[in-house]
Amino acid sequence: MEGVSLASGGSIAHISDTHRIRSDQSIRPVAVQVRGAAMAFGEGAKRHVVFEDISFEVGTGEIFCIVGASGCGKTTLLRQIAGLQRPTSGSILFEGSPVLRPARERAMVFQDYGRALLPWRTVRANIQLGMATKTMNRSEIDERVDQLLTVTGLAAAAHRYPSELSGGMQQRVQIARCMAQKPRLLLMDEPFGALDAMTRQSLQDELMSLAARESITVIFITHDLEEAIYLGDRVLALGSNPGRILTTLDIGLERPRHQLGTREAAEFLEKRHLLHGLIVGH
Amino acid sequence: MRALDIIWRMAAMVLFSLAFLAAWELLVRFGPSRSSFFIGPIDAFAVIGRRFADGSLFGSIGATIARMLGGWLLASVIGILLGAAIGNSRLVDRLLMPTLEALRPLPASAVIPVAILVFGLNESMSVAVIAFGSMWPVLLNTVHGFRNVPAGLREVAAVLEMGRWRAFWTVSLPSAFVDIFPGLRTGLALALILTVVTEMQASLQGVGYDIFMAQRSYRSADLYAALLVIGAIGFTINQVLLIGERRLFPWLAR
Repeated sequence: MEGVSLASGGSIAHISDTHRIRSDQSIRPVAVQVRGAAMAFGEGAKRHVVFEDISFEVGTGEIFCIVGASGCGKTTLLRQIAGLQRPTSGSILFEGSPVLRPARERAMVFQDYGRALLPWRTVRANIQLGMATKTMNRSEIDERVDQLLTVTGLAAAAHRYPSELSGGMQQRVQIARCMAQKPRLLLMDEPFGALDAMTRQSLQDELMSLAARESITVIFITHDLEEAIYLGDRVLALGSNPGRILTTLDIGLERPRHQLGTREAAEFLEKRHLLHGLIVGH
Repeated sequence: MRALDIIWRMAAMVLFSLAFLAAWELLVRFGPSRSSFFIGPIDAFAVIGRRFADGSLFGSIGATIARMLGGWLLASVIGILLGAAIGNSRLVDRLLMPTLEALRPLPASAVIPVAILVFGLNESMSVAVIAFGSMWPVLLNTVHGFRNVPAGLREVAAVLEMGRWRAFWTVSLPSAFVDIFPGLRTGLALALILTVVTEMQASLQGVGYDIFMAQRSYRSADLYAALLVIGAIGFTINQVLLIGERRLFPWLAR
């Protein structure tokens, strides 16, 4: 975080107006820039555009949510930021450098937690997989894993296998493995979509405190508008056919947020109506 | 509860085997067949007891197991190496697979005459035939295992910036091994069959040769005794591999 701020040269100049109108926080150095990103298949008459002309910036330490109906390409967009896919046109920059391939500094929490964990490794060994262990000795590794186990509430399950855990616990393991990467950017693809409401809410709160404590930038994809408003500093709404930006909404709700209080606030409901009208009303 | 479960399973197994042997004995004594070559288990076990006592059975069993394991190990090494190459590389797949698909339907016993011409009537011939016949399940399962490493796990390797080599050892191989292991088990069963066949063909010391000699000299009790011994070998190695499977894959639901 400290190395990123003003030291990274001209990045401060890229900060767009959306950052300046933020009510609750000061201007942040930019972490992610998406410039005219597009995804299309085929040529000529058969050309199918999933999304095009997507441009936005995400500030360091920001929780940035992307919502949209299924088919708008939000997962593809996130995979492009991760470096798992390349945009067919446009470019994506992380801390000023183009994203060409996946990197440890950009951790990805996959939607399908069941397929993102190594089933033959215990919880502990799965988390350790995220760490760059070459420069660490045994006790340093154990200490760091212990700490992550505690933070994510997995201490009691350390020696169990993923198949022995509930969905919520498995997703916690994936988040812990991503944190073990010491990422500067956390990319999350509908991470809580398959979980029950109670588990989802507690993981939402855990994510927010984790992101605040470790000052990580988070890009969070969801189709749940309330989840986006509850978590986000800003919410980007994507329309479909083809995918394009409908609006970027500043969420001025104060932090820390609370499952009851925040969701009942007039401002929360107002944003919800606005987004609902934009996305579902179309 | 687990101990009780094991006791119950053992009891069921022993009870049924005893019932089967009793029915066999009764059929021999009171059944319609008047053939003096139809021998009951009591006589067969008497032969096993006698051959244990004079030590000749140990030599046969030892030779058969050594030959079977030798052929099976060779088959497993070749099968896994070839399978890993084919499953991980399209080029190797296109080069080798057509030839392998043409060789695969050949019954291993039909290859024996060729093997005898090449190697002679000896141990090498036997091991080569066993390896040829028992390689296919390992090979095909290995190919399948490597081709079906979940795309999600490959992406995990990519976002963790694992190199090719590390991704192979950490992700692909353990994932494929779940498929490889059943191939090893099937291969071992085939190896036992081919061990017996080659022993009969090439007169190599072993339980298969014992059967051959018993048949030649009309010693029916010896014949059944040898069959019981082969059954026991097959049962034991399968149990060993099942225990191995449970130890190797503790995360799989039982």
